[in-house]
Amino acid sequence: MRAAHAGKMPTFATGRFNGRAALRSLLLAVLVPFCALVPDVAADSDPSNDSDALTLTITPVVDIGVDIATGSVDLDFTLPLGATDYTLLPATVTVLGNARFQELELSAQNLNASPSWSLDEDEAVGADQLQLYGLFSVDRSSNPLEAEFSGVKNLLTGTPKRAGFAGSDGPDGDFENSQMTGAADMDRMTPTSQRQLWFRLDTPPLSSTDEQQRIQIVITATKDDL
Amino acid sequence: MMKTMRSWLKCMLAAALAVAVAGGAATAADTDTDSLTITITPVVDLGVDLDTTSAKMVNGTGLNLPSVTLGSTEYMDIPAMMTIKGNYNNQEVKVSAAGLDTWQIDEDEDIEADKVQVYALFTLGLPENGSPTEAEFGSDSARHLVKTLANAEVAGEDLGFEEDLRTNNYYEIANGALSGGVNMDGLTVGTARQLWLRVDTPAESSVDETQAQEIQVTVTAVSGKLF
Repeated sequence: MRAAHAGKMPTFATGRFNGRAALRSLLLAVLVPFCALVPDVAADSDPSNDSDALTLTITPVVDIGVDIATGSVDLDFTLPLGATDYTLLPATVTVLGNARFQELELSAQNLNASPSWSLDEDEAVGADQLQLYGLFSVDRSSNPLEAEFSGVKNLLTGTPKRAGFAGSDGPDGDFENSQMTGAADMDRMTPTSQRQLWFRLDTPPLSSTDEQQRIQIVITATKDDL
Repeated sequence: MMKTMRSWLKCMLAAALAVAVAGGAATAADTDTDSLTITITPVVDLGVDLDTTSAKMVNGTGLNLPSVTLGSTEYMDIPAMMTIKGNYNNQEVKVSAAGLDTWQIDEDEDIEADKVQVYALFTLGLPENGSPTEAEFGSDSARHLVKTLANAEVAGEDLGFEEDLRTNNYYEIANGALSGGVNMDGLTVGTARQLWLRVDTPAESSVDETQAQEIQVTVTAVSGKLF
């Protein structure tokens, strides 16, 4: 049946039209050029290794530091017992190094051999207990008032205490007074930051020594570690 | 020439070493911490108060002995009260005596004309009429004999000793050998002590009953620090 038909189908060669063959030729002519433009996706058998990365770990070695300049500050006092006195000029404290955020820890100790005064920690007046207050400021022209110093938080003791707020930011932390003229924020200080440091001394009402007492105040720079 | 060059080389090496050491010290400097030191010289106040309001000699009116025979011994039966004043918590007291008239103070226990012997002892808690005995006043190698200001002694142990032994104590018998015996070293403000006196009049006198003799006993607060 097919053979019999084939003999009867018209071709160009024969001058007779073959519709099915013509359609096939037309499709090939149109589709083959387009197929040549399609990416050969099937050629990347493992796309998972097409990309990779490396990580550089850099541990910064920062420098923290502090400098205290006492210049012409008079730090020698001759005081009766039960008296209050102040430094009339401030020491200048400068943050050094290159760590961007630093804070300061303050402590004090009596360098004298026993018997000697100790540093009061609770503002309760006691024999042989010196109350030593510290307060930071900026651009003050005179020492803070007695009441501005007051507060256990501003007492220098043998235990290092962080100026400002340890672990957080905020006003009126240790050795700060946000209400006074020249109030200074002691949190997250940057290198070259400068602060004035004032002291108030309250001598004990009773003493078991009349010898000169040498009180050393130590300031240590720390990273803020908020 | 070689010797000179060797010396020169030695000098250069020494100089280089010195520079290296100095450089190392500078590198080790720690600027994380800085410090300043405040010096305070305390101006302390010493003080003592003698209260004789109730004090009384056995044969007297208060501290007035109106009629005393020569060569006799007199005692207090009510002591004077001494209190430490001021604000210095390490005080001791120097005890001295002076004759304000003809009679003067004997300083060696040798009986002499116109020389009165004054003895002192401090106690705590002795009752009225509980005066130390004559022997207690005169014990301890006469160290309880009160002398003039120039030779006055500090009550308690000698400076540098505070062990309360009876080897160098003045005006105290603190080791339990005396009832009410008390330590006189390193007294704090407010400390109270009883002060008992014994007075031995001279055996001979160049003044009579018309000329009352005043004997002043002075207690002076001094620092009790050990030197």
